[in-house]
Amino acid sequence: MATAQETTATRTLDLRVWRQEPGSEGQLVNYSVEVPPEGMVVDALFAVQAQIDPTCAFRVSCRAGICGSCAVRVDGRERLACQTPLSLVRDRVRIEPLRHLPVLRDLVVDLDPFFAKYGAIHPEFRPRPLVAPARITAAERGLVERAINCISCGACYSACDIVGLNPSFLGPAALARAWALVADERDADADARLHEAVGENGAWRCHNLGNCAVVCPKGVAPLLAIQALRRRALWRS
Amino acid sequence: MEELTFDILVIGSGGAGLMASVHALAANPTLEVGLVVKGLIGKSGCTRMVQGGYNAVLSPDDSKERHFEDTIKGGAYLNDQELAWTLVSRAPEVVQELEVKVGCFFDRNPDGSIHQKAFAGQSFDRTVHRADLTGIEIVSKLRDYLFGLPVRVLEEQRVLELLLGSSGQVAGAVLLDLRTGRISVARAKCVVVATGGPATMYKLATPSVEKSGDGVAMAIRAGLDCVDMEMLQFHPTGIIAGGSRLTGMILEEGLRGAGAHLRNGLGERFMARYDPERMERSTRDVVSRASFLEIQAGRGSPGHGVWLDASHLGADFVARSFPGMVERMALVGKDLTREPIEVTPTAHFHMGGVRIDTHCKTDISGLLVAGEDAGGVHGANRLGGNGVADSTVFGMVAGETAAELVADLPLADYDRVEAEGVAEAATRYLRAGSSPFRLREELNVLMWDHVGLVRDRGGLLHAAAELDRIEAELETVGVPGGRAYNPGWQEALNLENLITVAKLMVASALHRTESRGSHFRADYPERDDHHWLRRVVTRLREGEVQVTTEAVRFTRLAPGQVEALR
Ligand SMILES: Cc1cc2nc3c(=O)[nH]c(=O)nc-3n(C[C@H](O)[C@H](O)[C@H](O)COP(=O)(O)OP(=O)(O)OC[C@H]3O[C@@H](n4cnc5c(N)ncnc54)[C@H](O)[C@@H]3O)c2cc1C
Ligand code: SF4
Ligand code: FES
Repeated sequence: MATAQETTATRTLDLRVWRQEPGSEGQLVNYSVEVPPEGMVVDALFAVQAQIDPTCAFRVSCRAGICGSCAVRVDGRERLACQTPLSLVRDRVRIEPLRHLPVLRDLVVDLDPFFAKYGAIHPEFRPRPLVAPARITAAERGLVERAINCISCGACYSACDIVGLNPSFLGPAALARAWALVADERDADADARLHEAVGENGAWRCHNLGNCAVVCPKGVAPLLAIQALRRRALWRS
Repeated sequence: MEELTFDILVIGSGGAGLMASVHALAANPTLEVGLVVKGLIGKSGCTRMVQGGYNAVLSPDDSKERHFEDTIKGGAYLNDQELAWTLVSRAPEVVQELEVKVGCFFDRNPDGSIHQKAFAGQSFDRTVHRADLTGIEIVSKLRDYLFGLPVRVLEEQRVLELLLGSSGQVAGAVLLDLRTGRISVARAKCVVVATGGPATMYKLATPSVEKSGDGVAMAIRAGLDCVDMEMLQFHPTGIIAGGSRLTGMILEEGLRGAGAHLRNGLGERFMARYDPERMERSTRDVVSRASFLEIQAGRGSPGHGVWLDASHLGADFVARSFPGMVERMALVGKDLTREPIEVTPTAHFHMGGVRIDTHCKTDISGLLVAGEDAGGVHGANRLGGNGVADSTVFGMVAGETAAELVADLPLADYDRVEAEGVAEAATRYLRAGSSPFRLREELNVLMWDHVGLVRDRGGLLHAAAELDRIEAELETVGVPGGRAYNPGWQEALNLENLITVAKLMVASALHRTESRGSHFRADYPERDDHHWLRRVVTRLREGEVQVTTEAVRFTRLAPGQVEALR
């Protein structure tokens, strides 16, 4: 039976994709591929893999904006490859890996440094002794709502110039997670976390450039979380 | 080969794998637990993709018995009733734990208590959720929780094969590091298999793309029995986005629960013909097949689908209740709040899988299976909201069982020659040859066309022959380009596993000469309770698929009892 995926029209797209073997220098390589007009950037990468070079490496899992595996730079801007419609990109588009992280191969970066910083703020919940789920109204919850949407894609980490200048800066995503816990009335360790989040490599290192908020695909606005952490720290001391 | 040693090796970081790790350590914090994941931890797998929510009995007006009845009725009485009972009776404690211990925050009622919404096929609104993207909340909080536990995470490593000891007990597994291409052995006293299902073998499918039925395939090769392999669920409301990979991803079930309508190309609410009582809120098997038959009869929408219309529910309500779905449709230029959307059935979830008992034990000592890799919980059709309940409940059970088992189990020795053999077999693809992606496309089309929503003997026999051909052609596949992060190589390995699982699915589907739940035979269109309150059991012996059947045991509810109650 004919299925929904059968398309008649395709569009020719000129891609310039970052290719890099482990242990060597990378470069942009040109590919011309046929893509479905309704496709996303990730469909163009799948097309390279299927039509030209099965070794072209990129990360993808959910292909629906849920897992945060596929962040790359499209014409210099951090985006989720699976959530960026090809209809919005030029006929000649450049695709590069995230910045500030070592390249493992092609578009795949080593996220370990990103997650090491994320781990440094102790992202694990430390509950107040509760026997049943807390009764919390939506209004009371407002403080955390934005920060909680983070899918740890690393886009903000790549877009942040301060991360580039100061490799020990914890970065936007880790601080947004810290805020989500500091503001969570169910968490038992708000003070200790706050201490870490505004410590030497924390919220005060941020220069309010705001790139994180611009590129975040989930509307997390890490900058607002960072500012909230600072305000909380100021009034606590 | 390099060797690592653990008490417990958990394979997969979906709901099942994460909960198994957490609960093994909760039972005994001194255990050495290894968690090996094909993708990024907490970022791969389907649990993270859960949209609609989690079925659990929380309200005093609801009851576990009711949840059980819904589950058995939904499963067309094929379920292993003791597994289904384990599911419904322990789901509430998991929701509680996720909130109180792990830090999830589910949506609330105005009075601050947990909100539960309506899902199809259920007699009570019992689906716990966070808006329409519930899995992110559950999996990312579980992943965060692991930062506080001494679990050794082996990320972007795929398990190639299970290793057994000389007396048939589990001894560990062979691992392939995707980043470097290095192959190693992880030894363990107990192994928990939780790699999720094989629905990605269909042309249109919902799951995350790295999944390829690896766990079930490895269990089959290790000689374990599988049950209900013919039972593959299609979700009725997959998105149509042309040639994009987004096609086949779903619009969540809560839309139908909330009252969205389905219409065919003629504008008729066609569910009136298939289930006049429940209409769009009928179970997935019924709605998917109805849509498929409408499309096949030429009454589809222009894009080979049917229309899902939520616009009459009010734009504000839809935007507030289904923000993720609205955003997803906006991406392809559609407004879910105001216009009908074209949808298609799409392969979603495998009810079949490895036979387990209520402790997640299998016939191999020390080898546990949990989540979508296990069969029997859902019978012939899974209810929406029971999937994530399954993976988290049985993940918890597997963790508890594992912690208990390793106290008595010795570390088994494995056969080094066998492990070398696994490595050699996997690396043989690193040669010049044809592209694995083309062959994968062939497999996916084959399964869609002949082992899909409507099956018959001729089509299934054709599929069986074609699977043999595709398997033979796999030997011409080659992916030069090095070991490190080589997606073509991974695809070749995925194909091997998908073919292994597909063979058992086809054999089971051929054997069941009736229609029940997700399994519909055009040549046997009726449900036949007289002959077929039996489950099909399949296994691999000397490369050949063996098929037997066994009677379902009605330990709690006999056929017809749910209907009689209502
Ligand atoms: C789009 C979508 C929406 C859904 N919505 C709902 C819903 O609303 N409600 C509901 O109840 N259910 C829903 N489900 C079903 C639900 O996700 C599953 O039932 C269940 O959560 C599967 O859990 P799991 O732990 O068994 O597997 P998964 O969560 O799929 O995890 C499998 C893990 O194993 C890893 N893995 C795979 N192969 C290997 C290997 N060889 N070596 C190492 N690791 C490996 C994967 O990378 C992944 O980490 C949905 C599923 C999808 C796809
Ligand atoms: S804050 Fe936004 S951009 Fe940064 S990791 Fe989270 S989701 Fe990605
Ligand atoms: S692949 Fe998951 S967010 Fe893009």
